Amino acid sequence: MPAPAARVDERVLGAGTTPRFLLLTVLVLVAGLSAIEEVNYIVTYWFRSEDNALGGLGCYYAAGADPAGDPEANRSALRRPGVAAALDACQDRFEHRLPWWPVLLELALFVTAVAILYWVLPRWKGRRAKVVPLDAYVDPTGEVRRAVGELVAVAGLTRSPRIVVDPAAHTPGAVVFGRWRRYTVCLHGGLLARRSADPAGFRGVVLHELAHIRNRDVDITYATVALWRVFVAVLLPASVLISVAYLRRDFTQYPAGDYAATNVPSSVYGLLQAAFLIVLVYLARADVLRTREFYADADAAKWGADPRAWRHGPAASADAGRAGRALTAFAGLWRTHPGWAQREQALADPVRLFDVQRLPMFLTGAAAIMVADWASGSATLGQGDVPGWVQWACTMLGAGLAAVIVGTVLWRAAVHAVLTNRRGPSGTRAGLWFGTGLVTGGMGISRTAGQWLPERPHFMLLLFLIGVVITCWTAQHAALWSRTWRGRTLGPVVLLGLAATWLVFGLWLSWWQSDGYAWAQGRAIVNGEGVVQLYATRYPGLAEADADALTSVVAVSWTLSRLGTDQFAFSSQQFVMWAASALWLLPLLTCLWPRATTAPRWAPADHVRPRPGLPVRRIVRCGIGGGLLALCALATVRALLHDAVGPGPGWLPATLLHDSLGALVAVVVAMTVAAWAAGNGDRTCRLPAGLVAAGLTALVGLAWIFLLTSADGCLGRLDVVSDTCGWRPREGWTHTAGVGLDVLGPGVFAVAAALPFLPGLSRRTAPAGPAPGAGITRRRLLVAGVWAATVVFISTSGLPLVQVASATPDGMRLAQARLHPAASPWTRTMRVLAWLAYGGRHHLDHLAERGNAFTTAANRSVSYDDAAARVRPVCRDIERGVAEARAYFPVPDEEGHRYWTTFLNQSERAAVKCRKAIDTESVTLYRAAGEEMQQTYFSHRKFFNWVKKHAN
Amino acid sequence: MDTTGARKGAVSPGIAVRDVVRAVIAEVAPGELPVVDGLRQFDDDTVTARLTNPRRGREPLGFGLEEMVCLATPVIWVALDETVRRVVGRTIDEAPTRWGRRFRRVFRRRSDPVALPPLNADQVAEVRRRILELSAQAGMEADRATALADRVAVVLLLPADSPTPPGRTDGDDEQTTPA
Repeated sequence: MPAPAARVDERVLGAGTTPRFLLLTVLVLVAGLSAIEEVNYIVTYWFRSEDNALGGLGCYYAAGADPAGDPEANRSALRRPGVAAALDACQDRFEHRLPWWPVLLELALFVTAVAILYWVLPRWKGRRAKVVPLDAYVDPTGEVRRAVGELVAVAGLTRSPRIVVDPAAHTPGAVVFGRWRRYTVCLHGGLLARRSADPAGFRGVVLHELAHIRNRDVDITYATVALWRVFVAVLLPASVLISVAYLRRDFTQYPAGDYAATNVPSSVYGLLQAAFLIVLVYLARADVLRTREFYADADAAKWGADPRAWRHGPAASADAGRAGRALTAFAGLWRTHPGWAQREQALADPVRLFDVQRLPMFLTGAAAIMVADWASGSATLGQGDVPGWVQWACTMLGAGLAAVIVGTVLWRAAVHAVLTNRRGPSGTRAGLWFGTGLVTGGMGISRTAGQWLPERPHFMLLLFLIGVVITCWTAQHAALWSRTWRGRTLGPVVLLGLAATWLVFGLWLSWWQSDGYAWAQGRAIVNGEGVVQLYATRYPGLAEADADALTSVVAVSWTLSRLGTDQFAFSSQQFVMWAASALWLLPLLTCLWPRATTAPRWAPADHVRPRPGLPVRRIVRCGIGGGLLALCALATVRALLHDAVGPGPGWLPATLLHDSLGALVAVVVAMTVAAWAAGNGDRTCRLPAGLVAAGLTALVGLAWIFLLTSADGCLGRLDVVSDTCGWRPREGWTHTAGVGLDVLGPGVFAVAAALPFLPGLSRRTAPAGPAPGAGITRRRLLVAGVWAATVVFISTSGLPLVQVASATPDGMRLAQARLHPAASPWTRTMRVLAWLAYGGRHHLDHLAERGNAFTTAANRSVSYDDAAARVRPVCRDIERGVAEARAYFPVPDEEGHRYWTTFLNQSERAAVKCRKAIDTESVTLYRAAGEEMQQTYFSHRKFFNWVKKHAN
Repeated sequence: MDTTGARKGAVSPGIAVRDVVRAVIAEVAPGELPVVDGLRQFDDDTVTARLTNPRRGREPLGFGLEEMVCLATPVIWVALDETVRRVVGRTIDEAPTRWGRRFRRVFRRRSDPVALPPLNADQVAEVRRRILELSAQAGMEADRATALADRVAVVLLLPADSPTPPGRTDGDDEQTTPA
């Protein structure tokens, strides 16, 4: 029978409740900013001018989009050449916006209101009408004051709090409140009355309250309360009222049709957001406060409080039934204090404080994505577009808070497992809850989507997968380091682990925000035809290549090259590789230390048994085996390509692209098999062990690719492009670098995503390990070699990279974009009217007026000097006017745009001829210019008639 | 200031309810003296309102104990206060409303201590009965409740025995503890 484990110090690692409070505060803050943005929009709408009723929305109609229509058609319309720039200019000019000063004033008022409430709340609680000071009148003998003074000294508080009494409170408790460095402990009348009968209880209660002060619970709790109350009292009602008003308008004015189909979900989700936010904040705050209660109890007990002071509640009744217990547990989620049985149990054994609870995981996932969404959407409070780097920073903020919270919980669990000689968590269960939280927060709750469900709801599983994988890896990585780290404190490795979790989670969350969510919303993942055209600009002749599979190959290569990046706004393929490498290079570092024979130095207890680290021998074997498998797979791919390739136009780049994808698939399959084999055995570090094996396989596989490509032409049936034998290391390196980017980037992530879902084989007996110090030099050489090779490869792999850039996220070429016909005559009229109102009429009138001015000036000019002085400036004006009109939106109708273009072309030709004629003093050219200018009258008339016909 | 000061135009001069409460508590439950002395710093309206309706706010950083301690102080104070009001013909319904009390607090006005009028045997018996009733409602043991009620009855029937509370007088209250 195992000896009972000694009590583990609950503060062996930070509790992680401060980041949870911080996440809550940031969440409420960004929700407040989002509400201010909504209010500002309504206010600007009230103050709009008569001729700008639609504001920025009208720009979309003018651009040929239909805000309530098909998103794909809109995307296509907005991608037409010049439209994006014209849309930006239009938004800048017509979007309803307030001046900066009221916005800053609102922000200042919000912050001031929170600060005032934070300052007033403790004064209100400690007002003289409710409490009385603990002075000589209440305590004539000074006994109570002496007792409290002693306890303050025991708690080690440098500054004694104010002690007051609430004589009307009959409970034998106390409460602490206050603001920064000015705290008040309020003793209840019941506590004072029972003090002489139960001095231990009095001591326990007061020490518990002093522990709250010592742990800085008062500051952050009351700051959160102040922020939340201001939000609930002012901003939340405003936000709800706006949503209700929208909903009322939608149901009364536009009960059916496209408009209602998109607006009703938006308004309903607006209300759901408010409800979900309230639930989330209450649950999260209660959860954090419950955790802090455990710590205050533990501190009080450590300072000498009698644990019997916590013996209050009856033990949980066993016959309550499943439903009864579930109901009790559900009610407990909303309470700020844990049950007495739990508190008493936690004092004896703080296992609960190291446990991975489901609720915080779920709430953290939901809050993180809501923070990322709202912060990046409202960072400018509706005063213009949020720059890309700000969006990235907001995402990293949400990801960082989540990484610290989830990471701390998992590290604590791992450390506790080591200290109690138990098996640590694999992170799967925690990951399921974290992923569920991400999906719940991300599915319509945090974004005002114009539909009930995303176009492709199953793509939300990608977000779920991100949550599961990052949690599993963090848990297992923590378990591995806790076992093997030989330092005095865990601080450095915990920081390293949390930074890696942040890096990887931030990378994928920013990818989701920029690309992944758009996939779920129905945006095309890749435009095969456009991407082939793009590749053809870098690989001459590719466009002529006649291969059926080429489009698919290019599309996959294109998608992989952008996977994990935020459309290159901030991260690049190299960045993805660095993040992926962190997943396996960091666990590999644990091999630098010899096998443990004693307890780790950071572990304060002697009973801790040494635990195994990474199974290096098995990993190396699997890596070598995986490398051989990769070689076989590469040979198969090359053999197939050798038979398939036939000479023809563009065959060389097409073959190289096929070869790259084939090599990628071959190596990644080998990596997955090696990872699966290496990960069998120890469940708690399956992922790190598997990923290290996959990394080794990748390096060996890339070495094979280099050799095979460099020696192409000498390999017989395995030759792919060369037919003459020779050593070509340059070509080999270029090809290897290209494949390596995908293998060491998305390839490693693919293995990490697959491994938790692959069934493992359990080993019956643990293999006998070698002697503790045996082979340590070889292991260190292995680590150094692998690190050096990987770092050098990643640093240099970008050099020969063929950059295929695109202005569109799916590779669609601008030339492919086209305007879809209006879905209804109403939409068509709206487009034409908006086009006219937002600048079209101005350009049209301006050019017509300048045309008339040309005629007048030309008629009045009787000499060359006259013409040069009067006519030439008019012609220059027309040239400029045409250029400005071209920078404006194309007419949102094909027929209308033809007339408009004809008019512009004629005007431009006439103006250029006119200028040249005057500059060269050519009478013939001058006459031709005059005739051409007369023609513009007819083209203007045609366009004008078309406008009249369609604008009514 | 006279600690037995009369309620303006309401009752004849007598011992203040708060003094009777303190005297009895000093004998039967001396541990509750800090509670009585704390309550004595409020006026009677505030005390009875808070003792009869102990509102419990949700305190995020409290100890978390919600069980009530069975105290003698509220039982005696409330019983005596009700009796005085009945005897002098003033019903509870006529007591200042919550807003009235707040108004007084804002302007720092404080009512004088409620004084006990001379009680006859029936009225004392009524007080005793009421104490037993309130004790039972508060969950007090029967023996303790009977002792408490008997002691109050004795004090009421023998006003000469009623001691003046030690320490500060209500006059001090007026100076140091604004309501």
